Amino acid sequence: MNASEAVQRQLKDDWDNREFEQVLADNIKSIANFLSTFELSCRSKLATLNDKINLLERKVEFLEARVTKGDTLS
Amino acid sequence: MPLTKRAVSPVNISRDTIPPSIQRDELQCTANGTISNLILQLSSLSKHAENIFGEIYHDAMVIHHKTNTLQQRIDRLHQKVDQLDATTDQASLNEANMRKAFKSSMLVDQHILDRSTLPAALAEQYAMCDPPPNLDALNQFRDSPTPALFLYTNPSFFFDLWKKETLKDVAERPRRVKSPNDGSKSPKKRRKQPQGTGPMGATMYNDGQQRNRQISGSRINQQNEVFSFPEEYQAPQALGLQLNFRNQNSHPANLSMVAPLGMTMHHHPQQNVHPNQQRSTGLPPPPHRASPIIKRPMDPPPSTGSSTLDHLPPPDMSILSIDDEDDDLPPPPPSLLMQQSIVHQLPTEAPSTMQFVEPSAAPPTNIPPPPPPPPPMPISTAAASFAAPAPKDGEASSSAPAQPKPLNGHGDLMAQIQSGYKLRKVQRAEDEAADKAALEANDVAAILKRRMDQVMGNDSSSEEADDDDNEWDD
Repeated sequence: MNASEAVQRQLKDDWDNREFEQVLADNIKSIANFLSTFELSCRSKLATLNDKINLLERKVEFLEARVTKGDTLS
Repeated sequence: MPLTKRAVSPVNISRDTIPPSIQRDELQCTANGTISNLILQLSSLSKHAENIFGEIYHDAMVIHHKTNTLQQRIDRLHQKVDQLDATTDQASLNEANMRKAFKSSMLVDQHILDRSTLPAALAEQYAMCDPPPNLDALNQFRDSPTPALFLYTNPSFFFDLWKKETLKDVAERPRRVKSPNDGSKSPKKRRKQPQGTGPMGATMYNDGQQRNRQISGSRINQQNEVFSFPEEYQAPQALGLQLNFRNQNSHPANLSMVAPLGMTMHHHPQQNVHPNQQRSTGLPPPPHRASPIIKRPMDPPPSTGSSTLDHLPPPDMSILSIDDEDDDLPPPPPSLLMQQSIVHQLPTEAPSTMQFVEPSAAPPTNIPPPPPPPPPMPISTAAASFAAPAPKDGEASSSAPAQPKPLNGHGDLMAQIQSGYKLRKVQRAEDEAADKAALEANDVAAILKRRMDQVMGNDSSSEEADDDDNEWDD
């Protein structure tokens, strides 16, 4: 009787442990998921920002060339 | 196929086998092992997270740096613009002319998938791969200079292939593309000559000859039959020749000539021989009826030059050439029907035309004048006996192909005169040198630029070739 109780208790603990491990694994997966999404969105936003800044740089460069005087061939 | 960029390291966290030393609490052991693997996963995940955040931080810093620089530039620009004063700072014309052409210093992204731009995470993955076998050791046994490893793995294979394909066409193209231009060049010269000399009286002879040549030919004769109809019935091409008709009508021989519609073709041979006789008949000249062909054979070219061609503006030639081009199309079938029908409707005029024929025997007159364009005999059966088909066909074949081309050359000439293209030549040498240097550095933009120069920019080379023509023609 004691032996079966011990086995049942072990099984119960094991199920509890497995549940705990499952919760841990799920959370780790969600963290990984979040990291992937976060990286993707960050990179896309940074790329958009970079494009805009590149465009601005071109415009500023052109404006500088327009405004600059004395930069002649002679 | 999705490419794994970051792999969280321990997978199958609870499938380890229990070591044989453990005799009791196996379940507890498995649970501990699983949890430790989970902790390893967490650590791996934290490492990847650190990696991710580090990259993002790096990118953000780059952007921040760019933004700061940009902000400074904008501030400086702002100051400069504020200092500008329209009243005091008048840009001199000379300065504006001497200003350098704007050239952006921005770099174009290229080799995006190159090894140097490989993300750190992927570089780690790549480093875990097995290295290629040491095939370079076999190089000394190879005849060809390519290293043996390139036969096993060559990361730049596709780029080299693309570059070779692209530049191969570049090397071949110039000849091929230029050939049509060369073909159109000679007729253009021929075309230009009468045009440039047209208004001047001294060269009228050539001009008249040229026109005679252009309008000769059987199909044109058929068209002339068509032209004898009222303008409303004709296509615009017929109107283009009206100018020519009027000038020719002013000639005395033409004035006397009544083109009796369908029968006009019968007159040509006789007219060549007896222009005066026809003039003596003195029929009233209808303004549009006389066909140019009738006059042409007997016209002494100098007389046409002095009397009629002085009023001819050079564009008249272009009008003529348009007609010639249209003549290449098969004559419209309605004209034939109309002509025949009118011949039937006007039987009274036929005898008058026959009177012209009488003074000289028709068959012999056909033979002597090789230059005169013979009548379009296939149209009406009555004309068959008078017309001389053999010389007509020969002339048509010789003159017809040459005529369509000159117009193209003329149009090109005008377009080239209107567009300023001389400046382009100057930069060519520098550009090509820069292109060559960039080509050796595997510059994608330079390769594409050369390719585009060949595919799109061949008009510039043809323009240059045409430029030479213009210089000595005009």
